[in-house]
Amino acid sequence: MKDRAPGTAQSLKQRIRHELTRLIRVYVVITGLFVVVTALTISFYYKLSELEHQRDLVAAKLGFAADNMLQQMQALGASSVLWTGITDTVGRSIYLEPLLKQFNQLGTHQLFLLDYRGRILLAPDRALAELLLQAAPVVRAVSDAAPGYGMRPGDSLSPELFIYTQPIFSPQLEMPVGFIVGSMNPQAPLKDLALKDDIRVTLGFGEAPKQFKLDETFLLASEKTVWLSRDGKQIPIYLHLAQAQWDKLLFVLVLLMLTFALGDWIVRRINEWAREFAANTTERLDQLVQSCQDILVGRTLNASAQDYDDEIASVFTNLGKMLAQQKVLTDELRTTSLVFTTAAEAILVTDQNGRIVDVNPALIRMTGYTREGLIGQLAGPLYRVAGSDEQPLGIAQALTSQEVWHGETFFFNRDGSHIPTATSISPIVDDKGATIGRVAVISDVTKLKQAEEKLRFLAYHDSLTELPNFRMLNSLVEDRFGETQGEQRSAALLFIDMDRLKALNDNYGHDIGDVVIKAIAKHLAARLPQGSILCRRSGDEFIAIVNLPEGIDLATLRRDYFLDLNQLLVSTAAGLVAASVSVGVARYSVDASNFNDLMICADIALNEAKQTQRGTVVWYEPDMGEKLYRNKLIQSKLVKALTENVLQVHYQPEVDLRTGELIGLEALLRWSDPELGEIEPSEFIHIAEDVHLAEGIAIYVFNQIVKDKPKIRRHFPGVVIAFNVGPQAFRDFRLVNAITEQLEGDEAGLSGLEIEITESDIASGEKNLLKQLRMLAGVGVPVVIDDFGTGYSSLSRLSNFPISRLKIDRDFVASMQSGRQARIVEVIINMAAVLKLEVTAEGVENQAQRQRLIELGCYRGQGWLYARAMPLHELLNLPAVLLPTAAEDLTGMPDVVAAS
Amino acid sequence: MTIKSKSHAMLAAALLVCALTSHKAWAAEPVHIGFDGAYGIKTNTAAKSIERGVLAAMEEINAAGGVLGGRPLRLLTRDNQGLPARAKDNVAELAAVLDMVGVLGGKYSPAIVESFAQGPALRVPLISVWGSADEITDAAGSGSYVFRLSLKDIWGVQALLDRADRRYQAKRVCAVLPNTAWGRSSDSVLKKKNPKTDASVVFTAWYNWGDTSFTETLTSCRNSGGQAVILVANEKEAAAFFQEMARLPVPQRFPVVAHWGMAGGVFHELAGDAVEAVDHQVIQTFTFIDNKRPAAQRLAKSVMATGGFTSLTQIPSPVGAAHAYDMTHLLALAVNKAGSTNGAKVRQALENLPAHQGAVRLYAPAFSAKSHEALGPDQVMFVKIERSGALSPQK
Repeated sequence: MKDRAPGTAQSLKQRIRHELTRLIRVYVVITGLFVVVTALTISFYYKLSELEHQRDLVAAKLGFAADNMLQQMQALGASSVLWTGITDTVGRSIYLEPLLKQFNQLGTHQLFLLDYRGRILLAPDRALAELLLQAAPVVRAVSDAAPGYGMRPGDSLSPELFIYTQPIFSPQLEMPVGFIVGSMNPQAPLKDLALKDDIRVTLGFGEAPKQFKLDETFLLASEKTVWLSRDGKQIPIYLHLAQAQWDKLLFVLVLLMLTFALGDWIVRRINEWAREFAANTTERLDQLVQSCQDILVGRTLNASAQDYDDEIASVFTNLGKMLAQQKVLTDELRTTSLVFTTAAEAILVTDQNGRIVDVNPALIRMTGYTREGLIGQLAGPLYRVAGSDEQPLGIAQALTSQEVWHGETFFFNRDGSHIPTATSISPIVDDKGATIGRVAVISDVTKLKQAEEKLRFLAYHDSLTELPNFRMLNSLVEDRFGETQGEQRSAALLFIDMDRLKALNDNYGHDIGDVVIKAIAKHLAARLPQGSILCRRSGDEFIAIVNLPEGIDLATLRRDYFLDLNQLLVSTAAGLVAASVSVGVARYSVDASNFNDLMICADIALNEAKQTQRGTVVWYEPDMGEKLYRNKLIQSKLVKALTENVLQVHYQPEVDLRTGELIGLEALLRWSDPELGEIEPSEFIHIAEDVHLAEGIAIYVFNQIVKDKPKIRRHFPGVVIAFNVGPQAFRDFRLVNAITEQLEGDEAGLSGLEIEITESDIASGEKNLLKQLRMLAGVGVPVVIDDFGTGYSSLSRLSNFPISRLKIDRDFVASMQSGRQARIVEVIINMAAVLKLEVTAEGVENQAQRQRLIELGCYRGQGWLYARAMPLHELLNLPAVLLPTAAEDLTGMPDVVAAS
Repeated sequence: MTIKSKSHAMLAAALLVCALTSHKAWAAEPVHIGFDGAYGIKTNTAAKSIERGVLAAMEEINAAGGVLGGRPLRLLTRDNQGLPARAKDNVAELAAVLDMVGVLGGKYSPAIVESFAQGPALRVPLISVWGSADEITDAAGSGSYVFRLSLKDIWGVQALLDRADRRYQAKRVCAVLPNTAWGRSSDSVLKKKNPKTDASVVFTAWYNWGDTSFTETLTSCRNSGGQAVILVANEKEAAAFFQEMARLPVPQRFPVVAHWGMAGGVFHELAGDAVEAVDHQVIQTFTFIDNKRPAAQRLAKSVMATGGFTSLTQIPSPVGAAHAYDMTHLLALAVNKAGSTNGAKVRQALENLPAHQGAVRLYAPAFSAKSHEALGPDQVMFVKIERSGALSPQK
């Protein structure tokens, strides 16, 4: 900051007054000077012209008087009486005196006579004559015998005098016979002019007086030379009139004083005005400040500040707006700051070079670093890919652009350990959109990861045998038989069913049954070839997938494979127990070219084994394929059913478990065919997906719901209707387009709708799925994850999706009471709480489940405890609050599993 | 040229005169006689004439051994230009010269009056050899250093009046007088005229030097019944007056009886033919014409020689030469009688001179303590000025 100007320490009031006063003073001084100069100039020229006029008068008067004297002298000199008198002696005064008197009668001059040597011959005023005898003009004239003239300066003896001495020549003589001396007091004729007292007339006769140039500082002067003509010679009379300027100065002084007095008055008035103005302005500025403070603390504005319509008011208005905006920003900033410091998530801010600028306390707590140790360090090395020293590729890419990066990564702690984190890195951009740094929000997901791992394990493994469960098999199979079917080698799917488990349980108890099952699992794992996949599908069912050599024929297979699988002895607490399994085998790409068909084929083969000879391995043969036939039939009828509106939409209520209030509906598709009977969606949806009808079905359902919704909402205001959509429905944008078209037609049309998509569908990685779900969320259609817990979904992936709710898969709810599985539901509910998602439990079928769910904090549920899926007309007969049904009685049986 | 330098020049001229006159080597210191004359007035011939008279006498005296047992006389002159002031100075200067035994004054009475008034102070005899104003000697009184060997107006002007009466039978006379002491002296005489004289002044006209018109004067004179004019004037004014008169028809012209001033200058030259156009008589005390006196003839001889004149009629201002000649002799006598150059002693000696046979008259003696006048009415005579300037004695 620059040094402040000296004046800036003053108050506004002082500055305004100071500045105005200064300006006015300058104005007054300049005006004063101008007035003075003008007055002086005018006065000077007026006075000068006046003086010149006086000078001309003096010149005329004096010239006349002097000329008159010279004329008189000449006349006297030419007088024969004089000549006679000069040559006369005693007694000549008789006539000379009258003569002189006659020539002196004007009184302006004095003539007297000298003899040839300059001695007084006759002088009316002898004293004067004797005085003048010493005067230079007289002495010179006598000496030169020629006219002499000049001034005699005034002194105590006489005033200043013009002296002219003229020799007298008689006609007979060459030499002067005497001299006439004429003297005149030049000031005397001027008395008639009544010159002003302050006009000083300085004169020179014959030669300029020396004092002409003196003392002119305060004098106005004018000069003139009057020329007298005498005997062909020019005799100058120099006039110098000087007039004191003091009166002018006095005039100017008065003028100046008047000017300054006026200036002073103006300054006072301005001062007064400036004081009032400044006070008023200050008061208004105070008001402005007060108003600003009011704005900042959110108070109502003081209206008085707006009574004006001037600059301050404008400033006030603009400042008010700015401050209001600023308040919002400040509040945001405060919130942000609060969030930054109090957030549970670790936050790390870097500059554009990746160097750490700031970290929040949560990060310090999480990682054990010191803040000082982190500031200025490169942030990159802190992120690590799990098991690698490298930074995740996504981060690096995100850092090269302005993209946001979300994902999971590891973060190195101070102690060298690394913790799993969910990290979100966003660019910080300035006003111009340039990236000036990045902010990373890092969540310690260690516990989630652990829960996830456990959940995954629980979800994908059989808890008894610790073998993969069927879900895991599904995903493994998808990996193997999915996209790369053509490259897949030959494989066999083994459907293995333990013989007589019920009897075993009945005979030895479930514990022995479980031991046997575990033993069978161990036996199967040991007997199957390396690289085989084995899973426990349900209580006594196992499925295995075994690679087969290429080109091997069935006969060879029957002879060489799986011969020792069937029989084993199990040592139990109850002694050795003989166990056997029946096995149905289907060959991939020989019996079926997809997993479902393969399963069906294997199942057919197993059924064959069970029905013919337990404890054997039966290889599928085509004539066993009834189920396959049904599938083909379904496939063929599906299009027709779809086009002829045979498919019906049923609704299953979702209630608040605490009150029974109906809060939502899940739309479910029902298909009843005369030939095929009731066909479950789980059966025909797979087929529909195979023939790419999934999307059409979804649109069909959507349209039906839209049609039904007004009736439903009229009956159950605020109720939300969810409908299931498979991933294939998102293959292109038809569904989303259909939904958004509905939005265009009816703004209210989408309210109260929810899309349900299974967790496994999300995990399928369908292209554009995320994008479309975001679009739907954007138009007000929330996304709900169905069958949660069954899919392979990472938390990071879930966090990327616009998910509003999770629906816990009915299997987990059903197994809540079995002890081991009970914790899965708890984990899911806790995890949803962390992710701030709502949770709905599916398949709630008894009071115990309901009670337990409420205890765990899950307050939404659906299931037979309240209602099954029902057609619209039945639904519309339901009350708003549902009571648990008598079906509860059925739930006493632990192994009854309801299928939708 | 300044007055001073002019004075020096005149002094030089005087010394030259001395040198000329002192052709003999003199061992003794000269005894001085001064003369202050109006040399500067060009029309004036009196000064030169007086100088000649003095020199003539000195030549004789010095030839006879000088004075005081061998001391030569020497003349010192000054030019007063007719100015009384100048004359006063000149006389004072001359009187101050060592061994100055007498200072002569010439023409122009005012100058004489003015300069001789210093007599008591100068204590050197001051002698008017031309000036006629009564005042010259009358004012001096007893014990005066002022002497006169010249006409005196009291009887000279009376003589003019008488002459007008006798010569022209003019009983009614007009006086034309200069506005000076000379004129005033004449006027005084005319007013106090001799009761025996029949003629009387009926009109007096005063003129100033340089006046050129006398028409009014003549008209007034005629209107006053004037029959003749007594003219007191010097040559210049007289010439003007004559010319004025000459322009009048002859019957209207007045006969003029004139004082001798006009005879002391070149009147005939100035007046021209008017000289003869006006009948006139000019008073004189001496003439060379038919003068049998030995001294006069010696003088005439000397003057003619020094002046280069070929006839007696050519000698200008004869009275000046004669008076000066006589006075120089008288001074020489006085010096010798006084035996000293002391002014007081010479003055006393002048009052006690023996008889002396001069050019003008027999001085028996010239002066006395009571009378410092060397001439008297007996010496009065009249001349007519000829066109040539010659002064022809009139009966």
